[in-house]
Amino acid sequence: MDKNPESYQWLILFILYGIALILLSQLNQSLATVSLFLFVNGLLVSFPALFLPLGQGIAAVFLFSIFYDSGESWNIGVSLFPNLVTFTALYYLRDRIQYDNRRAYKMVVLIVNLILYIYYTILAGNTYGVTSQFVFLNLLHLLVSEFVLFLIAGLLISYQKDVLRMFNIDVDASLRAAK
Amino acid sequence: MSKERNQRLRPLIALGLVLFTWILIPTFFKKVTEDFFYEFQAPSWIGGTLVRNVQKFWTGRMESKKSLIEEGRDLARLNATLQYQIQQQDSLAAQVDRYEELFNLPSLPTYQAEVGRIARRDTNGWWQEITIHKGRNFEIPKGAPVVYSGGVVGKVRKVNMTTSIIDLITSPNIRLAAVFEGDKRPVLYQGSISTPFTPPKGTVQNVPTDIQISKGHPRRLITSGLGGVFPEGLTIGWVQTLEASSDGLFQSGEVILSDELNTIREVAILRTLESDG
Repeated sequence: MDKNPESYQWLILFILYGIALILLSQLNQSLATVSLFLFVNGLLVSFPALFLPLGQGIAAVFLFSIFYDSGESWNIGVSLFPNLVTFTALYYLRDRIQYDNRRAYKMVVLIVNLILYIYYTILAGNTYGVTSQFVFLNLLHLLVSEFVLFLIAGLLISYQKDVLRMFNIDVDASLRAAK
Repeated sequence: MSKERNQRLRPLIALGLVLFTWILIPTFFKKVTEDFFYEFQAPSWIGGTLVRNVQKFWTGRMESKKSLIEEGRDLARLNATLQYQIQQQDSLAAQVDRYEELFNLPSLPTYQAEVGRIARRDTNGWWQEITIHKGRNFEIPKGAPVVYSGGVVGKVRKVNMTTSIIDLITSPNIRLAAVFEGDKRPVLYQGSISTPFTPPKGTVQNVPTDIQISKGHPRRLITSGLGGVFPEGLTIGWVQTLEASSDGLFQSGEVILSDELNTIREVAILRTLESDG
């Protein structure tokens, strides 16, 4: 059995994302009383794509996608395709992103979140029909989510790194070594 | 060169492999995985409700004795009114039984209410639903009507082991036959997404042109009993304005639903009881 903690980054991140999704659902429940909603999946796909090795990242995103679909009203597997495709696209681009610049990966997180939100909205629109209220509400929820992510994305990325560091995994050092 | 090319293609090959494997996995295994992860998350929602209950308890503990006495007095009054209404309902039920026997009519459907606490509220731009604590463990039937003291809440869409998912009446996929109070002609109610900080709402269609409504005199929209899901006479909401539809044959308008729909903590699932003949 491999005792190297770096081999279990996917598992640590998956557990962290599971807890994050559960907490987010509690927050959304409170926000639901005023018809507001937060969507931050972009962050949870971006981190593994930017900082983890390919296999570890795919495993984390795969499990997270299934976990997310199970707790929501999407059919299982619905999130797998967009999450893995955005993961792969980001993985290709990650050499060109300046990691030292917090603004750079904040933008990446925001763009990924936007793409995923649009994907789910198109799916929901196909199921329930597109009305002006549907478009307005989703636009508003998207703006609120993007704004919140803009404020906290940097903090949450640092938090994920800190959690991995608790298990003696330094993703920055690993990335530098890989480069 | 070839090694470098392979290295570059690795992410794409991995993506293709994962997606291809997912497609090949039998539906049964996917369903089992979905149920496993769902049931794994369900206790956390229930835990969230427990935390809110504790919060409510301690908020109550901080109330002054005077306000508690006042609330107790109000509750006593409400109880007296409800007891009177129960008596009235019993006598009406006895009357209905008598008429059924006299005219040899088939029995009206009777319902048993199963009260469930809301574990999760999920009202976003994609869907409008709530999750309650009770599921197959309480024999909650799929498609059962869900109500609360203010009227209709929605319909059970999915029943899990310990939870059930209810499509709220604001959900666009909820359509039901309704009537205006005091009118027997059926109209069509459909849920509609509401914007933040506004009361929940729906739409009413196919309203005959002779029904007049103004903001000063809104009319109550109630369930018609047609369709066999919801019992007759439950409040759906209030209609304040109607507009002529494009063909001029009918009218349509907005239905204002109760604000309480966003804050209720308990609902009742109505189970149809088998008639005794």
